Amino acid sequence: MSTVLKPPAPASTPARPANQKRPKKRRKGAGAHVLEPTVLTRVGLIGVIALSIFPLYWMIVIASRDTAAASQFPPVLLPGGNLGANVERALTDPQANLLLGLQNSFIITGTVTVSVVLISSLAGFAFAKLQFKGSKLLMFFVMAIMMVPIQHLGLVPMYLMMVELEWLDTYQAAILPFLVNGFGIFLMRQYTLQSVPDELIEAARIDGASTLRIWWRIVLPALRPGMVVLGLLTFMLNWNEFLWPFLVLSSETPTIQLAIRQISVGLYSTDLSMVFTGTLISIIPITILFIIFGRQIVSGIMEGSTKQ
Amino acid sequence: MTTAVDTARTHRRQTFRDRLHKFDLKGTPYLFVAPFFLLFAVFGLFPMGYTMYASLHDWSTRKPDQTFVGLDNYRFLLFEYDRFPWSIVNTLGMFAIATIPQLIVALMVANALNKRLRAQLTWRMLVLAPIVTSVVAVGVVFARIWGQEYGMVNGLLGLVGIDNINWQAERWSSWIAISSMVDWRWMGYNALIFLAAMQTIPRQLYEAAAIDGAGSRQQFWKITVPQLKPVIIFTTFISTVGGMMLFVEPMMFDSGRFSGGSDGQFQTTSMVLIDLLRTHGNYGMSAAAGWLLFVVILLLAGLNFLVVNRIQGNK
Amino acid sequence: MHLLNRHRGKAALAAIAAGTLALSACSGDGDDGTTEDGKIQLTVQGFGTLGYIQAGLEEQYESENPDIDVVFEGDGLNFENDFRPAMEAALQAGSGAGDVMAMDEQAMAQMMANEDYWVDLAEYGYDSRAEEYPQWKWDLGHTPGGKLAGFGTDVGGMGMCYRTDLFAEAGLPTERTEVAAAWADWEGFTTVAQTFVDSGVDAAFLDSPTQLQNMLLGQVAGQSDGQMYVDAEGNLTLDSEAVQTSVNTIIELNEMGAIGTFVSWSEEWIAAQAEGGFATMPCPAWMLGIVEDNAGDAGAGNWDFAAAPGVSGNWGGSWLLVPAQSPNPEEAAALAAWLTAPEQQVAAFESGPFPSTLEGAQMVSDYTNPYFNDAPVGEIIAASVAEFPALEYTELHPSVKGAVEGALNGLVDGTYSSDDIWDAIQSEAENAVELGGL
Repeated sequence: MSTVLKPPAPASTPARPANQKRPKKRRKGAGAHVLEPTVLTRVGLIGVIALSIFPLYWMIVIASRDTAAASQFPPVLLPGGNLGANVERALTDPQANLLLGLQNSFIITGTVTVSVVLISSLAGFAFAKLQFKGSKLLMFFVMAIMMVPIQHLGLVPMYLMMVELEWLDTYQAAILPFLVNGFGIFLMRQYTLQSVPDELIEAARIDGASTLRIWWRIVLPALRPGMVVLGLLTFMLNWNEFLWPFLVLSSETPTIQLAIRQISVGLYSTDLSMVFTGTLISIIPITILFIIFGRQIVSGIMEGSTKQ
Repeated sequence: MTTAVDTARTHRRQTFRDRLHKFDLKGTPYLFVAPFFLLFAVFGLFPMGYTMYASLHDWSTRKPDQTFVGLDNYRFLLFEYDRFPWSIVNTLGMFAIATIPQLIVALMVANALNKRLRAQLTWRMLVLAPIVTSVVAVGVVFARIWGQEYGMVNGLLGLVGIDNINWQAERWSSWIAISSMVDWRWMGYNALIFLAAMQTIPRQLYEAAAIDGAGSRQQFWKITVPQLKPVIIFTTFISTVGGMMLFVEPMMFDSGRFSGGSDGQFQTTSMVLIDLLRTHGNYGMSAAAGWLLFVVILLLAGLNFLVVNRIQGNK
Repeated sequence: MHLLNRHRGKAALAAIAAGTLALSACSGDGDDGTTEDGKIQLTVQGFGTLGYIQAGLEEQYESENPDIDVVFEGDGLNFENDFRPAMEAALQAGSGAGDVMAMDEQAMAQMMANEDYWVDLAEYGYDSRAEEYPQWKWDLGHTPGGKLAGFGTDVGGMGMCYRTDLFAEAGLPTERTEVAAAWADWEGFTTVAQTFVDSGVDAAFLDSPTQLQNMLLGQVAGQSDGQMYVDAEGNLTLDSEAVQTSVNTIIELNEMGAIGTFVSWSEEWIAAQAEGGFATMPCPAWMLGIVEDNAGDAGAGNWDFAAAPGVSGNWGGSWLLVPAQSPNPEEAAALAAWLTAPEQQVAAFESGPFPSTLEGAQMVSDYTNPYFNDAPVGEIIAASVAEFPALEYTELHPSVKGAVEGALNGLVDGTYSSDDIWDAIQSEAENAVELGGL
């Protein structure tokens, strides 16, 4: 871990405008294109992908049919014609609360994402480029708690805190604890080291720009790709958060995850096609993000890992 | 005279500006990192401390008086309440059987993706696709797939003459079912991480091996796997921490309950914690369980640190 | 600021739009119990199927009381996992408990234990309703200190749901009076079970151990000293007649192979009702609507309803309480009284809950249920509760009950043998008492 903490050698590349694309680095790891895929490789890969996709596909099949289809063997494998009707039923059923769940999830996850990205880029910039006493120690601290899911370990008192503050069923209860995100700072620090040349900052300082201005005018634009990646990962992670909302929110003020649990284990569990329709609806937002930002997500995961 | 006043004024202004500049250099960094540390103090540090306090007290919905009982809650959880030690075994067990097949498949997939394929991004996204599913949705779908009478897995096993298995009844079987949910969702993610690492392996190694007559399989085992060892170990240990928090999948496998089967066969530590809090309303015990879980995670993280350091040292 | 729920949605959205995601405590909309247009808003916190929404009681009450806005919440919630813990937290926190709260009998003792939580309904003159109810139902709505805290909604009079197709296949009678005669007592029930198992029909006789356990426990407790799992001081009473008889019956039926592993409320349990995975299941009145939903078209025409073995019995049934935290206790009490009046109880009965008032029960006594082959449900259930003695559920009953039921599920899925089941019950129950703390 300590190796990561060392600042890298000053960027030798000449300063370039922040909006210009970074040269692709991946090419030099040239093991990439050594071998032609064999038929076996392709078949194996397609097999694994089929297994990956099947549960998702089956979800659509059952959502487009009726309850009985989920209990049959051999399983029903072709979609039926009820998808539209099921979706309409699921969305309009006042007890299912799906739309409400989607709305709440968007607000909570969106706020968490925007805040985490901003907080992380501020702190990441400070740790990467600013000299201040104790910065190494503080960064070590961030790295140390990065590993620990802090939100889940202090559950009991945090819950009692929310009760005391009368914050149950409020946005702030669902949002605030998740703004503590060490990983975001770590990631933004790495991005800042990579993409903001010291010279640029020095030049701005000589022009008399304040630190805040430098962050806003120079660092943020350069960090944009990194912020997108962090934002996507944070959004996906928090969209799936279950435990904490489950404690502080109620069935009347659900996130989408709570709404899905409710329709699948409450008394409405009786209608499986509706449960599957609900789960299908719940994954649509992330699926859309995934399709639009697939490239960023894939490269975010891959780059994030090599940085560690 | 006027000029003298002006100079004095300018001078004063300059010192103010200097001071501002000085503060900007010395103070602003702290302001920039402050939001994180403030939030951490309120929603991380304070709750942890308060958890410690609660764990030392007899404190529940029916006993709001918070009587100090020392380590009694810990003693009860560790030595009297079988479900707690078992929950740690369950969590680690599920993690173990979720990890090994997942690593093997992810390695194979990464190796396949590392070959010359057209439409690279599409392949990668397809492999990663399960990650779009929320954990709750995974639970809902897989609970059906692993059902005793009407589940698909038992249906398939029935074709080869195996009687319906009640997957929830035994530890091993419930662990397999739950591990499958974890594997399914995370395999692609790990494959991409391995892929990234594979791409940093110098091409010359492969070329040299090819000259020596090593086939693709040999290259995989002789070059790829050894080169990836640090990454494999690192990702494994990183995921231990996430694995210790396993909650939603086993909960959904038990129709939304926290008891994890008839005898806690697949009750994880997080489930015990929530069961103590929600079903029994026992804050003290639940807090003690939280601290014990924290200690387990710290131990794992420490082990993680040691192993990773050793690998880096060996390099 | 409060999180979005159906009723505060617009205000909250507007607040978000205005960018006021303040970290301050709630902004107060609705906290004084009024809506924006000055109506008094009354929230009814319910669980399961109380039948109020389905019967359109919200619109009816609002049209009769134009200054009141009624909101029903929690329909479909699982009582034990979700509703009870949430309400306990809300009562403790002093907010979020609604103006009227439904409560199942299993948790009544626990809820009544804290007098301060509840409004005294007698204050508004409702003690006059005593004569509308059977004595026991009325009495259980009081706190230990004698405060009138709740009006009874329904009673869980019992019968047995059974599959005529599977009974026919096993060579058993299918006509409901013959079935009832065959299992007039528990010995008869075991004989019927044995016949079913011997026939080799590919289905379980009973769904799971827990439904039967509940039914038998209440029945035997009613006939004997009323003692069940745990007494009011928190001492386990596992040697009570009710526990001994019920568990031993389960052990016997399990050894026979008559009990399925369809854990109540699980996905498999639901699917089995449509697919014919088991032949019979104890059904309190409120369960009928659930079976109908679960079995759906696939099971139509196959389910029937007969009188239960043994004598009268009761499982479930609820009360409406008014939490002291309600800003409009008088209006809340009036709403609770109206919802539990005979006419409204009869309207809710369409969804299952059987009226607990004497008049209400009288009004539905000739009701037949078309899904269950026109079974005379009203008559069967009315008979089952006619002579029912009051049962005292103690404060720790719910958590010990959960522990015992877990162990019984373990007996059926093979985790415990008939020899270790009592030890398992003992230790799980001890843990529940220890953790519940009294």
